[in-house]
Amino acid sequence: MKNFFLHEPRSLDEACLTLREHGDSAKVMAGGVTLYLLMKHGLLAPEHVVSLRKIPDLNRLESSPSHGLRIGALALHRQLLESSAVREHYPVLWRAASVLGSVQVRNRGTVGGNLSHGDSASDLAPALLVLDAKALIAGTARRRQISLEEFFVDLYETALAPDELLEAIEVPPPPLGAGMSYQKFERTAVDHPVACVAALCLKNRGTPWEVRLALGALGPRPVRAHALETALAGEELTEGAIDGALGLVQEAIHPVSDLKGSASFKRELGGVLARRALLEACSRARTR
Amino acid sequence: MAWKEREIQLRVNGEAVQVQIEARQTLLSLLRDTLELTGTKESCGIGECGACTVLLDGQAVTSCLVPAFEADGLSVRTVEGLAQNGVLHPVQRAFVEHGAVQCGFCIPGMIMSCVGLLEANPHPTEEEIRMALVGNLCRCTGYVRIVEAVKAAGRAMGGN
Repeated sequence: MKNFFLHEPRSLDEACLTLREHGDSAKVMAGGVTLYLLMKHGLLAPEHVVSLRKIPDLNRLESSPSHGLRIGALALHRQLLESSAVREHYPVLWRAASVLGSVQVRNRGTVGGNLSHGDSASDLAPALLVLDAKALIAGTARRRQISLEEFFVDLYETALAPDELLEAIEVPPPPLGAGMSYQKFERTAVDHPVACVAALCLKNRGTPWEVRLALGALGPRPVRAHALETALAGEELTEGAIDGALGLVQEAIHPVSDLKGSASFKRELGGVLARRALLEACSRARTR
Repeated sequence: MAWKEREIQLRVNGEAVQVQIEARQTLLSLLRDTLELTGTKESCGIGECGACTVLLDGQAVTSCLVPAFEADGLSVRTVEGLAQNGVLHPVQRAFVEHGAVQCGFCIPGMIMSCVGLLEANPHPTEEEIRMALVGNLCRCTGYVRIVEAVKAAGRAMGGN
């Protein structure tokens, strides 16, 4: 790979200014895992790499009952696993992180890097989507917050402008009694998912069920299955009701045939994983 | 200021080291090419096989995808640093005694992952061992004797 100028800004503003200054010839580096991989494959040859590692507090993981979870963009996947708050209160995220890659990947890969790459085959994305996560974005002298759903635009394309960075992911406090599930299909244990699905079920006392379902690796971006969620809202969530709505999963996904499998295989897989995730999430939901 | 080459300082197997690196250089290259510690192997080069695994501040990482500059100020342990005064580390001994080595190419990385595991979790279950070694591929052994060696090493290292 070609050598490059390494920039180590000490603040987000400095990082954004550097990106603005160098435009297309600059790439951001978080943990560097994906970036170095792409450079080694010859897919990227930036003249400038802007490392975020010296920006203070960008890797902090904070949790509070009132504010929920704030995951700094440079927090390692390992930090999610080490957090008892994540394990107890956001088990779908904890589970997704636990099957992400390998020990070595989790020791270097960051949450922000994973999401900013815009790869639909992200373990974390479906889990964060069913948790209604938001993306906090920093630009030159500006900040904005958007839903994580809006953050993903297309394959390898996010809502980040060229001079913007993902600063943090914010997850609202978990709904009490929510049942959650994460299902993944992969070729080998270290692989990116062939298909991955997260589900969250809420059983409100006296009022109907709520369901959230998100799918990754089954289209250009990780998505929520809104049609299915609407169809199942208010329904008594029996196996029959879930089976009846499963066809709506197909409306949410647009898998392509590739080395991981044919589109039709992935469609079937999506349906199977969605069913498992919904059933497991619902069985875990506690009436509140 | 942005840089293309600079000097970094780190500890490698307990020794302080000062080296000149390029921005693009990987930790693996620093170890093998600059420091001539060729125990750590390069195989896939894309962080999937684990042959290049070393411990960076006690954490297992695939050095082929770790920028060398990220090791500045940190400590790196490689397979060369395990045996002390000619005495094998318990993990090395267990691998030998349990016949867990065939061609040997995956072994330095495998052993470093195992050391990392046992130092954090001295009594791993078989499932925990297998999950910890997900990132270390072996084409020869089928992993059975590796897992047995890890259990034995755990016991030898003080776990019961």
